[in-house]
Amino acid sequence: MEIDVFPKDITLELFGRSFEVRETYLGALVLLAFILILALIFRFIIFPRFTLEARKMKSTQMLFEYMIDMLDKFTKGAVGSLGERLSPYILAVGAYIIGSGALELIGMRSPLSDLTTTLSFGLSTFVLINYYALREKGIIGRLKFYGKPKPYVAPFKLISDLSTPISLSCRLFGNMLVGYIVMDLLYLVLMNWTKVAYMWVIPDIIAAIVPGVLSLYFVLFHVAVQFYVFSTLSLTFIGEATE
Amino acid sequence: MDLTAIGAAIAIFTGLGCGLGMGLATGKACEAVARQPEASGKIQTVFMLGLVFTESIAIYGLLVAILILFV
Repeated sequence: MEIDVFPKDITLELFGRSFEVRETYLGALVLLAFILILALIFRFIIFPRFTLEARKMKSTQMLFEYMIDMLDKFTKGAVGSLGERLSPYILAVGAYIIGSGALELIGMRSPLSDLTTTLSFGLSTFVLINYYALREKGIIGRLKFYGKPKPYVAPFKLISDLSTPISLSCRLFGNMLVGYIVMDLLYLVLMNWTKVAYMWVIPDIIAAIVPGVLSLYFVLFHVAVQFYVFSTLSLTFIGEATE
Repeated sequence: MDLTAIGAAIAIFTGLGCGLGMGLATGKACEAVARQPEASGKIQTVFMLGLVFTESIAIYGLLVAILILFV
């Protein structure tokens, strides 16, 4: 039984030439197109119907305002006064992560099971941490932060700051890869059941229901918990850097 | 004698420390909530943060085991 841990290359033939792309890249393009179409529909069809008066509001507008309020409270509780500027970033990351979980339900390999995607998320959080720290404190204050209790702890603080994006991205990558591999192993076992256990013959209905029930945990709940963890950690690091 | 299986089994041992640490943390969080139920929101936030850091160590061990077996 063989499973492939790293994504393979696919050759496409377009416009007379053949390209070699990774299969997770195609999944990322499909996800981006879907999110873009959804965002355009929201912006140009649903949002112009909202009103500012409190008595004429319909239930859709109240639902959207409630969700944005919940997100703002969550970010403000973790960071402070910067929370309102960071909630678009958190929602963008969340849309990408939850969307790739939905892609995995369809059957494509989710773009987060590739180290390049998660590394880009970690690096963007790293850039945000340094940008806000430099803006709030200036360069001198940021250098003073490294020698805070005593001057000789500066190398350790530097190493721990540099390992932040790596740990964030490896955590996300490891969890997504493990979820994908467990579901893949389950499909392999169900396909080759007669080679594994000789006497028991499972009916086809059980072979159709078991992945459906188990993927509720391994794909949906796992992805949502990883999104919560990633956003909480990003907000905590940013809040710690701006104090 | 093929040693890859033994190597993968040793790599999974990181789960031992992870389970022990997370169980102790849950017990302390329960005691703290029982002492002061009004602060359960803050306790929940700190508890989740602590759980995340310890769980990532177990995930690293699992990743190494999968890489040993299949690559």
